[in-house]
Amino acid sequence: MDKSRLKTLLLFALIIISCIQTGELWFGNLSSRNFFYNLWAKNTSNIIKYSAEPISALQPARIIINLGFEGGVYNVLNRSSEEFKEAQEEMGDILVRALFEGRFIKEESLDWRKIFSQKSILYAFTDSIPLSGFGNENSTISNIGEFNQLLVIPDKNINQEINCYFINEKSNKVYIVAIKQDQLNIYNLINKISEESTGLIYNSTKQIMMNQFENNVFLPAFNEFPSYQLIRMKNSLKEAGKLNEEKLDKLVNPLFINPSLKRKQKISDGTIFYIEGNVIVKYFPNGVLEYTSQTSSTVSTKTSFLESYKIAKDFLDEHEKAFSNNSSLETFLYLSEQKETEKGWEFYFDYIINDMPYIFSREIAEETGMNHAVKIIVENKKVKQYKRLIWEGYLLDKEVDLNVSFLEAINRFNFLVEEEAKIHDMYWAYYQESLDKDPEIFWIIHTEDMIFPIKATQED
Amino acid sequence: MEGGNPMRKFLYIGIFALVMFFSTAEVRANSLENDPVSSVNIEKSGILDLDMIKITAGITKKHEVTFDRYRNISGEADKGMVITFVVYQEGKKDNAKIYTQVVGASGLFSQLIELKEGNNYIIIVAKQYEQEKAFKFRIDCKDTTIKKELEEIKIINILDTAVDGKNALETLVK
Repeated sequence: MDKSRLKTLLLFALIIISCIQTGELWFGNLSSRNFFYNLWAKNTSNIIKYSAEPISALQPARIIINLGFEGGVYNVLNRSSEEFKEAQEEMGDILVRALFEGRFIKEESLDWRKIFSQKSILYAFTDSIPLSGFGNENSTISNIGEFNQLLVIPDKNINQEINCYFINEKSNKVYIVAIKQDQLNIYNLINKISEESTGLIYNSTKQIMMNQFENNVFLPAFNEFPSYQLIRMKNSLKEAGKLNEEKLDKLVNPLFINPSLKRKQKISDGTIFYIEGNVIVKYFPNGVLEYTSQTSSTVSTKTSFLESYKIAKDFLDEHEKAFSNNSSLETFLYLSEQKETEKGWEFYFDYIINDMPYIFSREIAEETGMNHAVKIIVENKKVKQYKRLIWEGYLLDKEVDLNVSFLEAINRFNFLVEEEAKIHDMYWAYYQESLDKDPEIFWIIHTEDMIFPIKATQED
Repeated sequence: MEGGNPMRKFLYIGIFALVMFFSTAEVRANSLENDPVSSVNIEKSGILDLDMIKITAGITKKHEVTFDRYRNISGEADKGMVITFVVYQEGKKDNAKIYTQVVGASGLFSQLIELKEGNNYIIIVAKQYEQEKAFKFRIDCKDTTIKKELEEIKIINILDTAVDGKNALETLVK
């Protein structure tokens, strides 16, 4: 080989090596120290493509099966059950198809008794889902505007048109959309639950005409008191009273683009700060983790509810992967509140542990600075703040009988408020009064602006 | 003859009184001591007004035929009223299930009733102060295999007039 060819090869190898090293410098360990980093980081956060995706990301707070009995008999699916997963998958598909392929039939005044006259499945969200402004609008979406529940009455024959009822409880309207039923999965699921129903039986407050209820709420009816196992909530990072910093690192790292570059600082009260680029993550000793992105933008882009929810949900799902469940008790997060702000949206999520929501008192909220288990602020198509409790639920070896009926709880509530206040929602939950006490099971009654916990167990 | 035969007039009045007596006797025989169920009107909203109590869901008439396995009987009553539900099957009165509740400040009552295949009787006793009334209902619970057979009929006759499940059941059991 002659000398000049050898030189060419050497030069070529050097060019390749320099490209790799420059790449390492730009996108690798020293990422946040170079000019191109911010451009790259900005681009990666815009990768999400928007089609029907934001709608399919919506998750219901409850799925209810109407058994089609006279006077109304319902089954509320347990969050951890296989039936819930199956129903969620099928209903998610129906929801997307109804909005994008459905034939809008008409708008009607909401008559619960009429729409509950047949076997059906109800997909219920905690709050209204505004459909506008996410770019894929069609006439069905604009006609509906917003809804908070979807009722589907399946047919037993395939390829028949079935009706989907988009319910808006705020405006007391129902929007009927027809779609072609290409599978019998939902029909079969309802029949299976109806024939083999072993769970609790529920009432619908609208069907039994309980006028004190603003919304349609499902309340359990029983002749024998159901038993529930109690739980204990613990900071998942504390072992024998000491913080496991290795575990903390595993939770913090996914929040940074380049975790190996994060700087750590601990202050006297036990709070730990991690800083890398524009991101600050704080760990508070009471078990709260806070992520703040300080990226500033000169252009303010306000995103729709669905786009913002999708951004928040993707972020949350990604971080969930870092949690290793030590308690073997399956925990779910559900959207419990949403707020529109001037710059974007705020989302609040709460835990469902052992198939029951976990709620805590105002006292705990003040101590932790958290009203819900998770708070996510989305601004300019990015997560601006993410704050969550990193507590885990453990089953205790103690069971209690839920011997206070919903009527007894309502009577106590009416006694507390003195005059008949409108009830927006009511359900059983693990409710923790203070950090030094274990949660107990309470009836949680929501009025327009307050929450009333009423003990669901009564000692003889 | 002017004014007619006074004996005949007396006979007519007597026959009319007898007809009236026998027409109401059947209603009384089917009820407990005092059962106004047969004479009440179900309001358009579906409320069964029984004077002392109002049933808003779970029972719509005195005698029903159904495939349902449960009924949530709910309604409204005055605060302090004691409401007792006695549920039994035909010929098994000794195995009756009894549920009692006192109406609270909400003015509401609700009771889950489990129905068994056959004729189920539900007696609702409402008591407040010295006043006490009882109302008797019958719900005939049919074998669910009949329902499946009915559904099959609907599939076969899909191009004919659709058979409404409930109406077909009423016809089938009559």
